[in-house]
Amino acid sequence: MNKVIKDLLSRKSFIFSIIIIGFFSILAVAAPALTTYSNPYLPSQQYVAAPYAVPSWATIFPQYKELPPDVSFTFTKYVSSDSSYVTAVNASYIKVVVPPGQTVNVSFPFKWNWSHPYDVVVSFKLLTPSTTSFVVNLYFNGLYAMELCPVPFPVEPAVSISPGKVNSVVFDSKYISPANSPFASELPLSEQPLAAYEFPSYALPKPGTYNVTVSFENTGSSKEVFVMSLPSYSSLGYVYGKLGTDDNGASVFAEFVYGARFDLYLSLLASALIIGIGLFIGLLAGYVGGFTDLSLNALTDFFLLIPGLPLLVVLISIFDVTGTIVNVNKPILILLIISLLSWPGTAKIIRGQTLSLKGRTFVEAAKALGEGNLRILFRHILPNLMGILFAQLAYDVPGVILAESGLDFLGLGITGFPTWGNMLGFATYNVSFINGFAWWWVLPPGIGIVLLSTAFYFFGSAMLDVLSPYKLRGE
Amino acid sequence: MSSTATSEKSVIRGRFHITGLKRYLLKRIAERLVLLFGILVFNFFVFQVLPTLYHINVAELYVPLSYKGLPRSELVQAIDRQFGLNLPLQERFFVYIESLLTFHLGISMHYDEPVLNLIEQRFPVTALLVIPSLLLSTVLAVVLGLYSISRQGKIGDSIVSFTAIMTYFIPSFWLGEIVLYVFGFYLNIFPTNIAEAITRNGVTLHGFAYWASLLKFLTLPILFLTVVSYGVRNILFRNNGVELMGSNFVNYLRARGISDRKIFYKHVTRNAIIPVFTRVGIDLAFLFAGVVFIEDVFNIPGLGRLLVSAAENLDIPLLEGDFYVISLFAVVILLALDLIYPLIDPRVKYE
Amino acid sequence: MIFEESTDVILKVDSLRTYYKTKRGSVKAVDDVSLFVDRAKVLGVAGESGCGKSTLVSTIFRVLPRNAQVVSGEVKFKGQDILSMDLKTFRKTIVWKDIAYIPQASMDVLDPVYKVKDQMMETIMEHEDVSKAEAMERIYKALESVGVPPEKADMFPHELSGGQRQRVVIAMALLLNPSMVVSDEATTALDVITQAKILKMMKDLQESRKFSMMFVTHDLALLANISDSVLIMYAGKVVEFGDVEKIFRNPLHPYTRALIDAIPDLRLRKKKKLVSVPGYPPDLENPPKGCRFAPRCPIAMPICREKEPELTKVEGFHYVACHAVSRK
Repeated sequence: MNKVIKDLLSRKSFIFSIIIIGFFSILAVAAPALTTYSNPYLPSQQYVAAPYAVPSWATIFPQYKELPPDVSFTFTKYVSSDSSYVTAVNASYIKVVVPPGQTVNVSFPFKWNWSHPYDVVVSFKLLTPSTTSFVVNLYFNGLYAMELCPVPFPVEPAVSISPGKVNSVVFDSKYISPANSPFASELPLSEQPLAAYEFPSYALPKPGTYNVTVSFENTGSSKEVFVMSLPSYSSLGYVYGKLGTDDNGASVFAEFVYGARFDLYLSLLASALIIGIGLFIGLLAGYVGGFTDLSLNALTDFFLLIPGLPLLVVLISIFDVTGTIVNVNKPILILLIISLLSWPGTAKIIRGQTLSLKGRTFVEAAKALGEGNLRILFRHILPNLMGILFAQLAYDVPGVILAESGLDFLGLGITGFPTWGNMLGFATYNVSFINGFAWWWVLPPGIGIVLLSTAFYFFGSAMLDVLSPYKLRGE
Repeated sequence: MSSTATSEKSVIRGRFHITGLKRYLLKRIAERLVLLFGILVFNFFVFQVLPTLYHINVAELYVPLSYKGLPRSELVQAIDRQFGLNLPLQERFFVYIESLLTFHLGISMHYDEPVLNLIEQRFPVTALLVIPSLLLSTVLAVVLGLYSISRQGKIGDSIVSFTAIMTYFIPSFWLGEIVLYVFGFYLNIFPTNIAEAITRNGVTLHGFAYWASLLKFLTLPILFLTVVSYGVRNILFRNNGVELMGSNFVNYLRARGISDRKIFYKHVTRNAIIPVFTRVGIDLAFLFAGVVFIEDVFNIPGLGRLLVSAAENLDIPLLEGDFYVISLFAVVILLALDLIYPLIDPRVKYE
Repeated sequence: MIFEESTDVILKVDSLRTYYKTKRGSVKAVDDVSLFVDRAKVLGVAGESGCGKSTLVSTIFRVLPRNAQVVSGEVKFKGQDILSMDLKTFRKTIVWKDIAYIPQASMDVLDPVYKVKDQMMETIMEHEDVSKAEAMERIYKALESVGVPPEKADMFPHELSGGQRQRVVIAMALLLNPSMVVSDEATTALDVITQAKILKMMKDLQESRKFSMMFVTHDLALLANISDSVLIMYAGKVVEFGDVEKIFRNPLHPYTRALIDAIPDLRLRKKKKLVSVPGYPPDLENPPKGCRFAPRCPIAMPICREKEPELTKVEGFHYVACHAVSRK
């Protein structure tokens, strides 16, 4: 056995295959540790960054250099128009006293190092006085982002705020419209629908120092006291993680890793099943011979001849429509159908090998010694098929991956969670003149499939070379 | 074995050569027909028995949900009568077989056209896509294979062979979309819309101009199909050639002073091409089922796409007809292959 | 030197070393081999499989695999150094016209997709400028001389029996009337009766046509009747070389003796045990120090494991490489 391993390790193609298979296996096994998003197709796990965010390492390319990452922080510094009215309550709260008829502005400066982000979210808590004679405005630099009015139904685009209570104020550029933001309502009519997309580019167009200003206006006749928390800022960037994001802002890396997990799992299971069926049919046909061989051979030819992929499509549609198998989930159904349509090649090869082994001297000798058929099969024939079985197992894996991906691509396979096929399907649908080419999303699953398939192919070839009986006996 | 016994036997074999050929032919035809029949039975089971078992009126499946025309129930009844779909299963089977044998393939409600017409329209398009690429990829496989064999074990061979294996595993729908984007949209070299490609100023082209424009539209998919399909043949040819280069007869040829060129082109190539030929034959037999993704990605109205859309819409008459035609085609090609094979490889006899 | 025994030399191999390069080092398949063949004489070469016989033949015909290399030594055919000669000229003018090769006619010795006559025709046309009709004439003659019916020329190689194929291969060698023929295990795969027939035929042809022959086999017994001189190889080395009578009457090297003992002799009806040589040939990547046969030798002495014995003259045309012999 030691010699076999030495022989294997002396092959470059085997080393290549082991490295690739090992890499993807580790990805698959360690998936939960590698990413926190177990199913990026759930809405709750989307928008971890802007849609089509590029991978963070891609910022080494000049065209992506300026793109911002996800940013979130809480302001610590503030500047006010008149410092005597603004005092710190503690580390995170400030008190603002506004004399009657006056306006006090509190500015929160910050530095921005990139081009504009996908969105801008500013939020803070605000304890308002229990009168209705005040207005709180939120400015983003010069942009009039939000107007808060202490009446239940203020004049648009002002937004209502409860007096005498702690209010949670959230400004989210994704949801602004002429109804809730003066910025939007001041835009020309044609641009108003695009306000949500345009705000970040107006607010943070390029690197520089910016500020968020909260302006307290006392319209009454007595002084008003406000207490506000230091605001926090967050924005989704156009740069995210190891492999960026898809069209829903979900992590492509998470999809890739969980896709690898599923694909490896499914293809190994299906290949094992294919080997099982192929071994059974092939052994039976090759060893028993005669009419059994003839009919099994016809069956094999039959399955070879029916157009596989369309039949796969039809079967899945038919099962969907007739509800033949209701309680079986889709992955298992796909596993079964792919296996049932893919065994003929394996069966043919095993039959051929069995036939040639059957005619060999050591089998004849065993027969002459009166060994039982089962014993001959398990003691003499099966061990000599090991190389072929390993090789077939490895050869079948790419076939299964490709078939499953094809189904997913056509939208007939698995839909609820990411597989490489799903990634390919969704990613390639989004390759268009308008969206451009999200290479970080389009390329990984395809390259993954090609690499993993090639690796399994080389693995199988090496196993076949090394484990085939002729080599073992030094012939 | 003594030599005289064999020579007698070969004389006998020579005299009865024609009978041998006839018997071989009959046996092959019978085998293939049984196979075809098996496929038809299987289709009948999937399309008719399975729905019936689950109490679904097959006629319901004949009328797509999207169909707008006559009232649905009337249509279903009409179809029931026309195709005998309300007959018991065993009677229905004979109706089904009869309709296939007489090529009365019914009407696709989804396309609102006779199935035979649809197939007739799509066939040439797919043929125009597949046959050139079949030829091109075979030539590519052999040319690259010759390069590999002549540089066996060197870096050039490794690169060529590795690339060939990789192309075999490329998901065609994936790379197809990328190729389409790069060449069709980004570089704008090839037309990407068939309707635009075959019309000029809003008028559909005819005759030579039509075929020329169609071919121009198909150039990209043909090249693409060539690239994703040459790999298997290349590896087959290369591995076979490499094995042959070390074989006894090549050694003997070299010892006889036959020039390397002659050994390479006349002997090694001739022998190594045999499995490639077999492979091309099988690819040809299954070509209509094999180009589904490429037609889907490049938007080519061919048989493969017809099949997938039939499957997606569960257009049963179209599915039955399409499957039948595809299987029939495969059986005919395989039979032709059985006949030609002994000419390619003299070791195979009409026996 | 052995060459002093030669009277009318046609082929002379002088201190030839052919090594195979492998990942781990070089395999010394032919290591310092010298021999000669005289005109119209037969040299028999014997040795176990893997002793370098076939490499020797491949070196002479310059058909070594890529990883093999002639390290030193020379091969002279009719006085010309054929190893340093331009390969094209060698193939065009010497191979087959002057020195032909008879391989073992295994299943795949002929190209399976061409008819026998086409392959023979190709061989003639490659070397000579004759009309097709004339070439055909020669093919039929050659086939007739080896006892193959002419209609077999129209057949494919796989349609011939093993014996017929061997005859065809012999006919192939005689197509251009060479002055020397090298036969490499030409009768090995055949049954005993066919083997005897073909052997006799070859000897007859050799005597009537007066060509020289180098007859390579693993079966020493065959050489007794066919050859004039015999060369025994072991692990890439010549261990004994001499006149056929001398070798068979008085084998000196323990390996030769073991080989001769292993020949069952029915005519003598002696109650002789079937003997085989114990042990295995050495790993040629890493041959043992000293005499390569020493690990299997029944009479090995300490010096055998230290120093390589040289081929030395015993008496007349009889050379042996053994410390035990030279000490006597």
